[in-house]
Amino acid sequence: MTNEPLFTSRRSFLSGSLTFLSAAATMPVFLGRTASALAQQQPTSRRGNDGRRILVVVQLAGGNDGLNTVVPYEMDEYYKLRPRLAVPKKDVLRLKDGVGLHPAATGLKQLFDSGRMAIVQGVGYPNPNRSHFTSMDIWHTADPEQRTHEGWLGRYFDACCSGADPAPEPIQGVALMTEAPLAMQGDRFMPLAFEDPESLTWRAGRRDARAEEVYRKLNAGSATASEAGLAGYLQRAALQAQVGADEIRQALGRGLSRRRGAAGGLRQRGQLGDSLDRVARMIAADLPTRIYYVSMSGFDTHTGQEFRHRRLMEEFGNAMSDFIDTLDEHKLLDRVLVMSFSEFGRRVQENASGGTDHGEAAPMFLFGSKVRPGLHEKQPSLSNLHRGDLAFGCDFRRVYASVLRDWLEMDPRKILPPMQPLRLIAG
Amino acid sequence: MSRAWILAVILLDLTFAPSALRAATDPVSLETIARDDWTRAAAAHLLRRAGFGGTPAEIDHLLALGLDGAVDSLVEFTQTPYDDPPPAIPEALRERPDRAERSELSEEQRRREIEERLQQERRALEAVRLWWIRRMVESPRPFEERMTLFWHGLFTSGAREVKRAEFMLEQNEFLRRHALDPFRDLLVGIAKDRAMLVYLDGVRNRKEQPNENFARELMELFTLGVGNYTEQDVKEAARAFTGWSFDEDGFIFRARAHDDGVKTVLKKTGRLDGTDVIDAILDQPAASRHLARKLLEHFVRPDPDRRLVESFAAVIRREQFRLRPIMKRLFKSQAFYDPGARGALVKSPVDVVVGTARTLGVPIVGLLEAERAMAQMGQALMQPPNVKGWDGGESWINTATLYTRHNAVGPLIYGGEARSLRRDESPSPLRDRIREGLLSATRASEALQPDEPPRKRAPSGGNGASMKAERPTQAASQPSGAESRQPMFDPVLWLTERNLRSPEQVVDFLAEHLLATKLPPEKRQLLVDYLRANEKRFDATARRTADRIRRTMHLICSTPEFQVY
Repeated sequence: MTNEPLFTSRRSFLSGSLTFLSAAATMPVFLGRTASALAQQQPTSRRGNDGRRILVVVQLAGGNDGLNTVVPYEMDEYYKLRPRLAVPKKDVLRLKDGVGLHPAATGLKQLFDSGRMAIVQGVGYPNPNRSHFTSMDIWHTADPEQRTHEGWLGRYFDACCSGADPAPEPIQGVALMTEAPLAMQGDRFMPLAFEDPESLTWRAGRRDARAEEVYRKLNAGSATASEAGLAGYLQRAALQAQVGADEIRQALGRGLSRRRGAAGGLRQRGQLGDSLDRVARMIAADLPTRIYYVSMSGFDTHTGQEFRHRRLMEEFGNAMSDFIDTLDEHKLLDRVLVMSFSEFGRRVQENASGGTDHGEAAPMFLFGSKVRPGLHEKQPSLSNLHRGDLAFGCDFRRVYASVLRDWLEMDPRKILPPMQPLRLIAG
Repeated sequence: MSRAWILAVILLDLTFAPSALRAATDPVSLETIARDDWTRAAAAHLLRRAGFGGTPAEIDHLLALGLDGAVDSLVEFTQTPYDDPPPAIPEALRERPDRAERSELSEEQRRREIEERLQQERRALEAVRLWWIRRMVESPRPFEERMTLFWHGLFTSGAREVKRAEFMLEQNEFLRRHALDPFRDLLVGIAKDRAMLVYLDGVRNRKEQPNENFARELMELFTLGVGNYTEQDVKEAARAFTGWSFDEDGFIFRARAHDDGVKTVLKKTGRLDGTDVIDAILDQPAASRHLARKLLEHFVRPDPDRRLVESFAAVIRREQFRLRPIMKRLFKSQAFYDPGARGALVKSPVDVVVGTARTLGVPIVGLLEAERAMAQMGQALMQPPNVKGWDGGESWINTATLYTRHNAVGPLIYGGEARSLRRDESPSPLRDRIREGLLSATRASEALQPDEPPRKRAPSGGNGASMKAERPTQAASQPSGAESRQPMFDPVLWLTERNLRSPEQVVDFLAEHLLATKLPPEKRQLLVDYLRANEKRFDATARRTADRIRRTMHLICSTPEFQVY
């Protein structure tokens, strides 16, 4: 595919659509705001992220078995409750304090040993919900009461620009998913979600410039864009699609050298590796994106867990270490923090199908050169279980709060109920 | 003739106009609409919602039947004969491998055998999916397919988890066969359905170690909704379903794995089994409300008023959960035809692809491409994102899906090379594997080389169909294997039949037919100007104009307005 956008910049595209609009009787409020914001921009000012910090959220969907990820190999109860699934003590990649990593997670071990990984143990929330959807929503909204409809990162975007017009552009939050995750949806903010970057063009316009121009106008400005309701939503979504697609396609068209695997060749990437490779390109291209969101699925190991979890740990570890090393090589790592989470951990006792059922607390991971590396918070007790699950010792919102306060430089109280942030970021 | 058409346009305008001009509909009423409200626009609305839309002639036909006749013709579909048997599942996939035989194989052989089997499964599944898409496009009983799709979204199962095409097909046929049966029959049947027993772990739900997965989703997603049952209900219900299992012939009850003890589910106590649990659920008022809301959200509007939900739930109870009279009532109701319900739903990817094909009256030759496009738009049939099915509504729309939605319509208009399956053939297993994400992108593109036929590909490297069509003079490569050509849409007949001469008339007609809502005047003007192309004499039937008309149609199908129905 060609990576040249038809309009060289967002500005020329938007002014094109504004010319069209000036013919209309009314100037839509929505585009009026965009226009005024554009007018304020100095033509010489550098586009892009301006060296600001970037957060990458990695979602492990399905409920990762935290207990077999960060293994308490000194605890007898662990081996008692998991006669078949426990990681043998001799295989554990030992860290310290009697915990170690799953043997397949060599990528994580490398990151831990090089001081670029923080593990927060025993993370959860009160009255845990074991439904994938409900618990995922809780993590996305950061509201165990389930009264909030906006995501916590969406609220961040809403808040960091409150009073400022226009609302932040969708490209500030990019999700490499077919659907925009709830976490990134704000009251005003809507992220940009896509899985295949090749799909961001209107093909029929490539051979008919007049049609392309009409296409762009039909999907850009219209009085409809300022309307409330579905029609307005769709018009705004169409405009946002155009603006974001132009920039993304350019960024992903550029190559990026990758770190070679231990064997010398490039490692085969999985779902997460592919997503993170794209994120690395977009970061290197200096898009105005502040937050990237990627997801890896397959963690719902009710059956046949031993084999499946080993593969998951391998893929997760490799993808993370490739990503961090690539950013490091391109001198971008100091600007990037990665945070991973899963909607819940799994039941301590294994089930009869060689798997584990939905549980409660689990560890969270942070990666980057600016994390305070090592273990944080306590490993949950195995002798004092909550409904057969690991009881949480650390509310996940304390992790969010520290990311907001110490990385995104936002007062967490604007986003979350009062929570004592952890100290996870250096400096 | 032309005067009659102008009159028709004026009348159409009136149907879009504020309700002051028309007999009022009450947005929360299930009473039948007034006779005057059965307009051409109403008939088109009914056909889009109960089916997947239709050609101008089909809409005229429906209109002429009158409201009762139109609803009957859609809902009483069993009176329309239609037989399109599903693709046969290969014999090898119907039997489990022989254990004794297998134990004699080397590990390598065994792995290869498993690999081979997985590929066969994927090919079989693809054939089933494409068969279903073709049915949706071609069936003279569109409401049957619409209801099957509705149930598939509610009682959903995913092929990746189920792993057997045979079971997925079985579930699809079950949902179709019972599409309008009493809800209880559907629930009991789906609880015994093999795909569902795998998907929600029912098969692993045993007395010694109950698995709550199915019991929970049965209450949370299928029947009651969160807040209308307790954790204890889930636990006890799971016990009631223990022992519900299957073998190679279908559902079986394994008495030894069944917990025969006393349970209490939703305040009903006894030695309950699964059927008793379903009955206990259906005794809850929440069950009728839940079904009412699901049906209203799918067929009427995304945000049904509480009063409407309540009154529809009352209809559902009164009709004892029998779907046939329930749906008839809905399709005649004021709530259904209310202006606030018109264009209130976001088209699902199925609506974008299948709906456009039926609206144009064209077949889909490139079923494989259509299916892939739907998946890119977020709706891989038989592979919903999770047990909740597809969220739908505004979540269908984002930057990536919008481009695919706009592009996917192209081949139906421009025609061109298309890939599909012959009845007896299956797609490349390699492509499947790429789709399933088992191969990395780099390896996939290398591996694909030998698979790609040596034909000229569109410069996009993507779906080449629309590009090919833009060069109609270029000789088409002879269709080989599963390749064939999608016919180019010919707009001339539509225009001459109605004697449409000016660009304005053409744009107005196309917009009225292709859109469920009105096009804003400035957009209409853009399209009129594009179509006129500064020509001194516009000739709607000229060959060079036909290309522009097709492009104009594609532009209309690439608007925000097109995304709703």
